Amino acid sequence: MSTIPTPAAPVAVKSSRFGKAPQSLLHLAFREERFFLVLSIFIGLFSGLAVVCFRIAIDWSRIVLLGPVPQPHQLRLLLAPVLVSLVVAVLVLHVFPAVRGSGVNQTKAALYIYNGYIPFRTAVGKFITAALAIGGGHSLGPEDPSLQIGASLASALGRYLHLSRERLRLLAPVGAAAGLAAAFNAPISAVLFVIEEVIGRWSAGILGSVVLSAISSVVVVRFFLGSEPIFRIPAVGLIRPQELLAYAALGVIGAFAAIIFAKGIGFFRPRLKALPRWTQYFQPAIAGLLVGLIGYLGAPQVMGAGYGFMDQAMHNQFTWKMLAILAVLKIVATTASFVSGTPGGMFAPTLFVGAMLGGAVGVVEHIFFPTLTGSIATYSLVGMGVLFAAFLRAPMTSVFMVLEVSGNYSIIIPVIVANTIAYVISRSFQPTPIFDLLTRQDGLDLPSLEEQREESVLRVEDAMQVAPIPILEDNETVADANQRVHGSQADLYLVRLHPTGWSSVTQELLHRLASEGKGEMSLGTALPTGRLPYLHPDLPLEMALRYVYQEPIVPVVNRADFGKIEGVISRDAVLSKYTVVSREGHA
Amino acid sequence: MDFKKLDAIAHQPPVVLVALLLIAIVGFAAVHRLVNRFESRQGVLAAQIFYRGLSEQKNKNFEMAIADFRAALSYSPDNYTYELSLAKALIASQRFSEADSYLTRLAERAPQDGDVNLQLARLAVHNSKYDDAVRYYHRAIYGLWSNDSDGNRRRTRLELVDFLLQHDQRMEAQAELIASAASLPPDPQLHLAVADRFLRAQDYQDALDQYRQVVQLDRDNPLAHLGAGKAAFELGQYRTAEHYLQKAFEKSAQDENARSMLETAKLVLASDPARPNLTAVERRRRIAAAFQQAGERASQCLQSQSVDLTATATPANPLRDLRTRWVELERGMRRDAMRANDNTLDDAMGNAIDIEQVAQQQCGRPQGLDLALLLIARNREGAER
Repeated sequence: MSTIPTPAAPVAVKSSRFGKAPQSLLHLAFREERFFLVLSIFIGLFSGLAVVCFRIAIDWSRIVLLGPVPQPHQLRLLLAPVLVSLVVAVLVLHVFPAVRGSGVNQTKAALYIYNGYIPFRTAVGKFITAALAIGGGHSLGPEDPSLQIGASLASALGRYLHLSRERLRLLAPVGAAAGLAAAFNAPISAVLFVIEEVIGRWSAGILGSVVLSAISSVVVVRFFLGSEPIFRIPAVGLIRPQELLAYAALGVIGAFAAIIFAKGIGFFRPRLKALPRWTQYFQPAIAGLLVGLIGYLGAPQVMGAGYGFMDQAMHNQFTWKMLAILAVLKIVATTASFVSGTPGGMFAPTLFVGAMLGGAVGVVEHIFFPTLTGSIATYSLVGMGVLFAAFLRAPMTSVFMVLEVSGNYSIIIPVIVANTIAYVISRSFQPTPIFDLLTRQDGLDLPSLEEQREESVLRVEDAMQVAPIPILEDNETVADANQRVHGSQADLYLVRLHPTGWSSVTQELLHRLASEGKGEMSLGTALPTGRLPYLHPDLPLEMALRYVYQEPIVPVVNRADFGKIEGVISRDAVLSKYTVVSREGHA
Repeated sequence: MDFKKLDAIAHQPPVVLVALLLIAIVGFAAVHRLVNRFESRQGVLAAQIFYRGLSEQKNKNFEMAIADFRAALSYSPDNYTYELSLAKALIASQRFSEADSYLTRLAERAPQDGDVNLQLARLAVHNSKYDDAVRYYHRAIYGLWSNDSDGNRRRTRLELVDFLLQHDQRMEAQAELIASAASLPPDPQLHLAVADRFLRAQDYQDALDQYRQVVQLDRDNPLAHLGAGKAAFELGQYRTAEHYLQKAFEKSAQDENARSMLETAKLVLASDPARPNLTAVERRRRIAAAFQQAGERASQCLQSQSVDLTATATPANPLRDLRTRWVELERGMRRDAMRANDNTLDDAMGNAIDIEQVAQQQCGRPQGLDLALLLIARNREGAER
């Protein structure tokens, strides 16, 4: 553990209601950080309520627009997406312009660019337009809008309460986690996804709030809509290690499907955005026509989010050919719906493609290897995780998402194997993750956890130098110390304090102390009382910058034995290391 | 109090928390109402679609029925009845693997459900899983049924019996039938169904008992008479068989096999020299007729095999030996026709029966009097045993 003094909690800006010093017990009880936690619970509750209404709105509009039992060759399957798209396009262009695009990226932009500001209007607009679009048959999911609705509600609440800018920034991800958790009925996945994709870094400061909001929103959703997992599959028995090869094959196939999916979106989206503004009135309608045509001609399963059909795929209700066709058609339909600017998310379509692909691969593998014990449901579930890892590039979320939506922890090993393979292949062929790609297409540059993982971090040990010899002890006399440093070239020597701690002394000071008649005094008594801060070799180099300007050298000590010196670090050493790295980077 | 002060109070954390709590309570109430309305609307919609599916199923339009049941289930996901109906429709449309997943899930929810176990048994039958099928049938028989449990259990048991008989498991089938017969209500159709299966299981005595019960309950039932006649015939009770079969044909039963049985029964009754109360003359006449018939049967059978009746060095042929013996006996009988004693008659009858039995082995099942002689022989052996 480092003894470096940690910076104080962020100071609230002047406008914050909590910026003043606590005056009473009441104020003490409602200090901003505690209030923030309580507020997170309310954000979760409100997001949960909003998402319940949102899901009902989608279901209701689907019944009204596509009919209670959508079947091929029903004319409404062709007409509803087109007509709804025209309405949605007008709403997006004239009433709710901010609802276009990915809710994940907008929440991320709120965190990093707009100080946590997401207009409340966005929540309303996303609710209405996404409910119409998804209910009207567009191949999009409700999770991304739910995430944005949650973030928008949280942001509005934070603004009303005049929270500090720092808190306001963090409130958007807190709401996002609540919205996503409610949509997925999966709190752990939502927390992980928000950390992986929205916040983009592990931050203990916000983790508590994110978890509280996610849990409370899920409680609300389960209270109203039941606690059953989205998919119900029987527990998987003992899986022989050889069978993991079958799942590995699924990982490879899923990775390439994800790459095609991502490339399609990456190719068409900027081109459609570049078309004249008037075409944006018709782009969703054309996408709707394509999706409607697919439904009309025989595959209404691709319309909407498709959770019911994923469940059917898991229960072996399609042939492998049908599963493969549905996976391909879903990629086509979702690409069309998403690139046209129709509000809605890609989570559900990603899971749909994964479920169908997984089911198809599972059936085919069973044909060739009848001894495989994994059920089709298992392959479908693993397929979902594969697409999630390879397409959305959230590997940790992908694993927990599969476990949570199925309530089945027995498939963790196949999921990890397949997801890892898919993730690695996807990264090789599609270096930019889909959310980053969309961000860059929108002209923004937001940090991502994947990028951070790629970055090589400079550490203290990279700039560390050998400590000046000798190392003095605080119990030796000034005279002895003078004798020991005699003939040494260094100007500054480290002094080991007992029981722990470090100080330093210059040769000049040692001479002066001796000349002042303090030769028989111990160094610990003779030296000024100040202690040096110290570092450990594995700490990021940037931490050294805090101290090297105050002290000429900073000791770098062993974590297991603070009295054991590993080296020292100085301002010149740190700066020269950054200079070298910068030159190497340019080269 | 001015607006600024009010605004400041409204933003005080305790006030804010109380306000948020109130908003949450109101929100909960509103959403609760909304969800209830939506769920009740969905419930109605699901029921409508479900009943439409049932009518489609009745009209054997299974694909439409499946689509409707699926839609009903999507609006009411945990509805047991909808799920079971969907599984049944899938089985009816031969989509067994799809049905299997639904039924397995239903069985997890209600392992004692007789209907679910019955459907699982049918799936196992389709998948040629004999042990699973029997296990599920038994679970269905001893499981819980929502209505008409006795009737459902009885029908399931009969289905199990049919399955066992298909697999030639007559002993197991007989055991199930005995259990079923023990608790039958006085319904002629039920007794008839059980009796028919007893007959198929070759438990002729129980079959005859059940048919008799049907006749008691429904005197004019031609099928019961027919079945009783067949059972009695198989038991060697030719008088009874003749009685029931005669009645069956009087009641316009149509069964060529039974008609042949009736003829055979009559022949047996008319040809059996061992029947009680026969005069010595009649007994002799019957033995002579049987003996002559057997001789002709032997000649025909040997000729059909192109066996030279005069050759002596040809490979051994039991029928030819019997024919030789028959010739010797025939000479003796012709010489002392009127004085033939019981021993001679017994030898002649024994030879006739031996010929019929060997001829059956060599030339196939006979018809008419030859068959009657075989049946007389069987009865005689049975009586001796």
